Amino acid sequence: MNGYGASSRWSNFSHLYIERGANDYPLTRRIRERFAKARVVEIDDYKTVFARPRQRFQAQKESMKLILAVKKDRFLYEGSGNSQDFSFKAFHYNTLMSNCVYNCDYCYLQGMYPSANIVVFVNLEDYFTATREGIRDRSNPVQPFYLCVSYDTDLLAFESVVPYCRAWIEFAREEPDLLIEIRTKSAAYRAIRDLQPTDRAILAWTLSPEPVAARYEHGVPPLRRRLEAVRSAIDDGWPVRLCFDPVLAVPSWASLYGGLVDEVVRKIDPATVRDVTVGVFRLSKHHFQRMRRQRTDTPLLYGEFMQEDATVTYPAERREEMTAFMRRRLGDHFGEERIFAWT
Amino acid sequence: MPVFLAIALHAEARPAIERFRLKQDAAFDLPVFRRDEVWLTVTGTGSMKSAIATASLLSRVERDEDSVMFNLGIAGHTQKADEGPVTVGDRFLANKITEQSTGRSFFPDLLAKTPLAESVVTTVQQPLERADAGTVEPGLADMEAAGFYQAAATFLPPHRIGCVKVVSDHLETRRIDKHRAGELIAGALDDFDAAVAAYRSVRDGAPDVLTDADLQLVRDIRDRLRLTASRHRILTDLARSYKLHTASDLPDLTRFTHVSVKTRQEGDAQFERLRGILSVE
Repeated sequence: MNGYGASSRWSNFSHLYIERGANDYPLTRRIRERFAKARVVEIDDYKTVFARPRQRFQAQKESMKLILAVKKDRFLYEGSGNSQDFSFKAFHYNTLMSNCVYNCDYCYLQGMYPSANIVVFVNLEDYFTATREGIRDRSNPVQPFYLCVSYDTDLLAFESVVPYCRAWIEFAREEPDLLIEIRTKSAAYRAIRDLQPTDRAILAWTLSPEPVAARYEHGVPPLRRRLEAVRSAIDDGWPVRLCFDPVLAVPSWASLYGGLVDEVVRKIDPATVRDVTVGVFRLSKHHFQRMRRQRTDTPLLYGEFMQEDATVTYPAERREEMTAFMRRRLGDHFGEERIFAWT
Repeated sequence: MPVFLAIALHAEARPAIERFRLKQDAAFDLPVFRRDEVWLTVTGTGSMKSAIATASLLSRVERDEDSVMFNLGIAGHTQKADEGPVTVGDRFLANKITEQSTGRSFFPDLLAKTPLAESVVTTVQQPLERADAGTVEPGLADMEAAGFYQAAATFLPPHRIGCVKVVSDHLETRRIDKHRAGELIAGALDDFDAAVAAYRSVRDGAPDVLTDADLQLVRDIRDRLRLTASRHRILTDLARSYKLHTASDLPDLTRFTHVSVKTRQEGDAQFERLRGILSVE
């Protein structure tokens, strides 16, 4: 057989898989125009592509496809125990997209999803309707309905293709009892920079020491560019959250993460930051096991771990040491009251 | 890295057998031709026969992580002759395979970039006539792809399964002459060969840090210490962790392949020694 094909892979989004029912949505038309050269395959249900058996997540990561679908139900989920609720009684998230353009070695999506392809749910209005109902029916009317919209994905990183951050910020502006969080590792703040800031939308950036980002966060902008985006957003008047999560037990972790805090406060005035989150590496047991089966190439998934209930994380002593270290270093600048830690 | 081919008719298979200089392997009940890493089975016509031959081949021949399997054959096209760009002899890679009898569709994973155009393939139970062209999605109609794909997908990941079809007609009812079928396949073999090579070039991600020799060493230790499956897994992960965290080869563990273990306690003690050696904390 011949030698054709060395490193011949399709580029990302070479193919669009479109549910028959998704064809008439404006976002579908927009994406088809954006990827005019993509090959289009019509499908009945996104799961027939997304949930195929024996897919290889990392092989697909090098040639991700876009799947456009209509979400039929479950427009809101209650937050999981591995997430921080920021003291909100009604902590919810939604899944506007499944999967992320980035490829971090520690990312739980590798263990959660059977595929690395990106699903975009195009029926945005149905999410808005469900969210209005969630706001109306929330258990604690004293607090706003707290909703993470960039969960199981990185919405801002894909804003140029799917302008959902913009849509949700405008939606939040109209809903006085809603507070959304848009969490990202991207530097694409310019994609929403023309919007008027609102207190009902928190822009949250996940930050990692540059050596960690360079080695383990594939495709993610370097720390410097993320911090530039953070500063621009703060200067424009947005409430900004900084997320030191996950803190990884890499060699010299204290030096690396201490250096990260120093770098952040050199670039960002701590007084201008809404709050800060800290959490050491943790995963559901199920996701961790699936990730290990697929990833035999990254030290982040091998070493000393312990299982507590259904969560896999570092041994308690290590975890407490890392969390205390971060709380102390961050507390020096941000004050304990603005630090939310997963412990 | 084995390459498996499933082709319905001898007439279609002959050009591939000649091209890859395959010889029949009498050890199989079904017609199987092979040379080195290439295996070809002649399945017979129809989805069920294709599935049976595909499953039979894949279950009998040792596969590795990089194995690929292709279905190659002729197919009709729903476009009328001279009313569009598709002509007899054109070849396509299936991006969607629909089983007409059940309405179910299957999707090979298209990671490898090949020189082939793509098409939907609908697998029918009887040759599709021109008058019924509207009953299937525009594209190709064949009689094997759905059965082939379902069988292959039981064994292989979807990016290692390909289905290549050569247009033989535009659903005219006349039968395709065997000689003509062979000619059509022969004309497509360069592109087909290139598609197979492209599929073979796709890796499933970064390779395991443990080499085959490392894994064999761990298995030898397992056997010597009579480790349970759970402990074998833990030992493998410890070895992997050692190499990933130290960026060096495994330490010399050969003495653990010579020890004698008579009781469970002795096995536990040896295992703890191993754990201590491989610990990187």
